[in-house]
Amino acid sequence: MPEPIAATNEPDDAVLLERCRCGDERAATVLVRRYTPSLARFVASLGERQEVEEVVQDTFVRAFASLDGFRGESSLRSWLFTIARNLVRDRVRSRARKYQVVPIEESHAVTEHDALDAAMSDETERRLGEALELLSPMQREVFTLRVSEGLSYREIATVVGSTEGAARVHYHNAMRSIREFIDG
Amino acid sequence: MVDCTRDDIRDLLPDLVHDQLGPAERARVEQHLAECADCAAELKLLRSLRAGAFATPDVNIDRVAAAVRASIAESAAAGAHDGDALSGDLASGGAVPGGMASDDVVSIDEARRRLGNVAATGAVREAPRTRRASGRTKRRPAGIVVPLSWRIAAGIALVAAGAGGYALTRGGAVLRERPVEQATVAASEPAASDAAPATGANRGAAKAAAPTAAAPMMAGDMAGAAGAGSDTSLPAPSAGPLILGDALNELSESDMQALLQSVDDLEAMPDLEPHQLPLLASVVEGAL
Repeated sequence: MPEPIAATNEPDDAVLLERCRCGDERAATVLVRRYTPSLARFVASLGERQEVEEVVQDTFVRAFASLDGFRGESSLRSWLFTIARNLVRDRVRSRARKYQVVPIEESHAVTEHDALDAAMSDETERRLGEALELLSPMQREVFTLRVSEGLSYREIATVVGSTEGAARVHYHNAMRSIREFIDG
Repeated sequence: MVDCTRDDIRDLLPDLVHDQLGPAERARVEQHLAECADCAAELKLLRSLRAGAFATPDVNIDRVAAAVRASIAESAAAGAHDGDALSGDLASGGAVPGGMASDDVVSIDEARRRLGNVAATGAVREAPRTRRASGRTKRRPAGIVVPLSWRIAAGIALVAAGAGGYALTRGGAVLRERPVEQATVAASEPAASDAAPATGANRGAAKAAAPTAAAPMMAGDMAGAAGAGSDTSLPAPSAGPLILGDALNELSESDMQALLQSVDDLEAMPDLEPHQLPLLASVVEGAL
């Protein structure tokens, strides 16, 4: 479901997309403003923290460059998330080839949030961040999309290339892991 | 630990956090929350996670929007230029693309300059981002400049290829004509075929008039492929016709014998595959 737009009374995604296809840059700007925060959170949750803004920008550039290929079978939001996810994966692979480093996996991910941890003043938030880092990459993606962005399981399945049932299982497993970490 | 088994309710808790439930579902979930401490704790955890653990990274939305607008404008300009250039070509022979102001054409440099102006209000990493933004477009922007060194290299390559092709053509022609003379089959040919070049419409007429010249062509090909050196004792190229294509079985026996003899007499035979010539000769002999 799209982000709340009632407060600004802005047109919905379909209307804005149609304007974008006609070359309306203002419509594109509205969409960028609407989805940049969500995309930035999602990109960061995937482990891409150094160049979040660049990934988000590339996501929009790619999306607007291929608007003709967007048939509206999924929501614009899930489409954008899918593009962002693919971009992050490409960058991780590219870095792995370039620097011969091991891609960030579960066991390495804990150290990824040092900078974020420093910014977290509250102990609870820090522990929540640690709990998230203990999730598998797929669990973290699904959990982020569900909790942070409020995507439905169907939308999540579209983004991560899975099924609704699998997305639901990943979410509940992630929630169980987090609660065990917090309670333990 | 999670004790509540109401997964249907727990599935809806994130939707409740995002205020995405309808009135009926919301009432059902809230009723359960009033009775289930476990789900209430999970809801509290979800709210905490959303508020703290999923903090939005520092992203300059204005900068992103400006870059995206520049990319869209660049794509539109490229598309307009492509389409307009085509219509201009059709309408006016390509002199001036009609119906398009010159300002509509935006080169990469211009797009970078525009974006740089926008991003100058506190942007960082403008150049790589602009390049990336412009590089994502599918269409090639109008006014793109090919480096001079590339042009020079392309020109040299073109000249070298042309000279090489010409040299091969000339060398091949000389070599092809050599067996014709050695086979001495031109005595009965019409005068027109003596001077007929191996190109154009004359080729067919010469071929019809002098079918016996086809086999020497083949021998010439072999010699040419072997890179044989020039023989100054050979007659002038104009002594015999230069004919492409034809079948060996159209040769008379004497001509074929002369051809085989001329092949055997060649000194500059292929060094790369020295055993192919006797094999070819025997095959041809057998065919006769």
